[in-house]
Amino acid sequence: MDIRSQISMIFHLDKCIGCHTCSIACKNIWTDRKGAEYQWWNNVETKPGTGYPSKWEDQDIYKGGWEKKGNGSGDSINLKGAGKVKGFGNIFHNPSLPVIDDYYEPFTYKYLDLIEAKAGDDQPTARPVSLITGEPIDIKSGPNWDDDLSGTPDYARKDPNLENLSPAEQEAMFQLEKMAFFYLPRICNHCLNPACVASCPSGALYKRGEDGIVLVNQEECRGWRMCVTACPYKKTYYNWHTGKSEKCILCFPRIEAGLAPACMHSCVGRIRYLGVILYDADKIEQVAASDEKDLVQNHMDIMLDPNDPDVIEAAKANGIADSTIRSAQASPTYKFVKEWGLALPLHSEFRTLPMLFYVPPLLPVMASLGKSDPDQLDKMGPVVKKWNDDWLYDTSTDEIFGTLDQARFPIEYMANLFSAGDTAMIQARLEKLMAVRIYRRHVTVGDVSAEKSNEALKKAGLTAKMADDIYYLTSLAKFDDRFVIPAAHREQAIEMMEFTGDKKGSAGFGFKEGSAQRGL
Amino acid sequence: MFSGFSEQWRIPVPGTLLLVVSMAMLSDGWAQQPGEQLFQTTCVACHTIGGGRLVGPDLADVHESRSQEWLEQFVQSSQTMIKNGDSEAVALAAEYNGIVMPDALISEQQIRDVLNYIRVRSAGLKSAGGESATVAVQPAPAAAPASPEDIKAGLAMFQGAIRFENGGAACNACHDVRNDAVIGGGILAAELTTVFARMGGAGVKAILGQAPFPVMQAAYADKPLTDEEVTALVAFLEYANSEEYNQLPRDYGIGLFLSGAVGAAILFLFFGIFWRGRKTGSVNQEIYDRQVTSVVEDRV
Ligand code: SF4
Ligand code: SF4
Repeated sequence: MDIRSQISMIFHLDKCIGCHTCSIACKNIWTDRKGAEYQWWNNVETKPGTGYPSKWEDQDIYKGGWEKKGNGSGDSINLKGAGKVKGFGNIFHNPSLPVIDDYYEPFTYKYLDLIEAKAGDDQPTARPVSLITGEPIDIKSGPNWDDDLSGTPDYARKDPNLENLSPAEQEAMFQLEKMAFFYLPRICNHCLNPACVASCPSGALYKRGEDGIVLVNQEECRGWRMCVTACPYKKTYYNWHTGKSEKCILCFPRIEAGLAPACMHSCVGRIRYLGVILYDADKIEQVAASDEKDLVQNHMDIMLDPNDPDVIEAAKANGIADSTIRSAQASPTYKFVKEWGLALPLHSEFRTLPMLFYVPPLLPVMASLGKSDPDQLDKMGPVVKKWNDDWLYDTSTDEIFGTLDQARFPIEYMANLFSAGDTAMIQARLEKLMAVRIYRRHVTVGDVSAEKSNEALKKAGLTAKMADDIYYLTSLAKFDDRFVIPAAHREQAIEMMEFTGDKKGSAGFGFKEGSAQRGL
Repeated sequence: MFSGFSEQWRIPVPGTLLLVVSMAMLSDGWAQQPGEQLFQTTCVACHTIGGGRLVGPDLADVHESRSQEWLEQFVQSSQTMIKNGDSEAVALAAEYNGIVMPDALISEQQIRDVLNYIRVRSAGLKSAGGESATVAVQPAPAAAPASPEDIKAGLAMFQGAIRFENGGAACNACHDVRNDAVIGGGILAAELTTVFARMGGAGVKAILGQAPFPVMQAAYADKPLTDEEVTALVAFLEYANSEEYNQLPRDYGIGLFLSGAVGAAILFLFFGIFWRGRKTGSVNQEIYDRQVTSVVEDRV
């Protein structure tokens, strides 16, 4: 056992209101500079939709992530679009890179023209100009161009996750009455098996030993952009001005100071949670190479119980600080993923073992879809709507919460996003979310009977205590419950690299670098 | 905080001077004429005193035809003088096939010493009766005709295929020779195809044994060429010179262009196959093509 600690996140999608406060907080701190205008280390995309950059999930186009040849459990995995041989062959021409139009060409307006235009017959206008070339452009796209646009033929219907859905199911998703969407906020997942790190020919990317944050060393980066191809989440970005790649740094300077990352701190919906987990680094390779059907489960199994005495002992032996172990025991991530089994990784089939987990959205169940039986039509209530000969859109549920089979999103769609296609996993999570709601409805409003509530909890495998805890952490949790940030122990990390005794006696006043000096 | 330390190591100045002077007296340079050693190490590659012309003129009695001041200036930097249009210096350069003397990297005092040595030696020659006297350097006896083995060895050494015994850099690091057998050489120093004709066997040999050029001198300072190596290189350079007229650039005509075009086509075909799966353009191109209809004009 080689126990390490990792900062890991939960995004509770039911709570995201799509306000983009997180993206703006991040932009203001980190990417409001030349060359980084188009970068959104944190972005919030509408699902169904093609996302940012467009169709990032389609690895036939972008060749990101790892791929596994064969089916055996002992098989190894290789980078799909990078790695030693492919990377070397493509070192001067990386063939699968996103272009600026896959993101969008950043622009501003010539506002000064409004003020400085000479008097004339026409209203002055502020033309859009590219932030890259400085020349007037036709705006083709922008950040979140398809925001809230469920159903659009160009974006929503080209969502790569619709792949395994039948045409009827796809069509039903986009019927006007039934149209639904949800938001998917994304940051770098700070993966356990980061493809970006593995792909870099310069060795500029690294995963920090003490907390698993994945960073690009700007001094080592030579702008090969292999990481841009390799990251299946397209969360490394090339800065055209500096000629280096950049990515989300999980606000490590804030984390080291005990503050939550800016996106999480500012999140209006309070959907974000952050905590430390302990995992067994020896298993990474084996887990990343497991069969697709076991992948998600194995991924979650790599996280260890921080209360297990054996784990604690092994963690201590590996130099993990007591304060970190204590944080791991209070970690909301561990609770959501392991104790309650509510959260799932995004696209684990990319095999990077992402360390950001999502609680899938339980979209309000409103209606069901079925084959229409002409004989039955008469018996249905007035709310029933029939829109063609074959399909029936039935909104006549007799339950407040309906049943999962009546969910507005086909479970397959969620499964494509969060469980490598395994619908049972999604079903189990949604059932739990539903059970907590039914239980709370019983407790607070009382119009749901105790039997019904108990039955729902039992079916979902929850106890009343667990349901209360889930409710608390979902709805009432305070800052310190949502963000359990371990002490950074930078001093220990630094001592691994250099002898701090050299600096003793040179700290204080009267110097900028090196030792204190007299004079000007 | 270390200042106290260094004080202990301070040696009184007069003592140091004494030490230096006594060491200098012990060295054998002191025993010779001060200019003699300099002449032997620096000048002999190209000049003799009473031994006839090598690469540069015989310097016997040079002070009779030129003023001391002119000589000092010339030794210091003949190139400056030529640039400044000194008629005698220009004429000299022309006489010696445009081979100008490298600027001396020695002090004014040393220049005076050398000139002095030349004067003394010339006088000695006269009193001893000209030719029969010992001269500083005899011109190398006319070399036996170069053997093919020597030429081959010289070629290999020139290109670095055979290493110099003392580890000196191969000639083609800096020099080039236009010859089919030579793949190509450096352009840092002179092109050597016709060096044999310009300087003669003796001159080339002298330069190889004791380079008068500062950069070359530094490069081979503690890695001198052996006599066999010098012989082989001279043989090769003589051969290169004699072959010069066969080395005219060939005219490939349209063939050159066509082979380039065919080569490029093959390369593009290869790239096309190698990168056939590449991503071309934006995944949204089709949307943009359809939606963006206005044309942005008058780019400012
Ligand atoms: S999500 Fe982050 S850590 Fe994972 S591969 Fe992409 S850039 Fe690397
Ligand atoms: S700030 Fe929070 S609620 Fe708003 S978009 Fe970002 S993740 Fe969603």
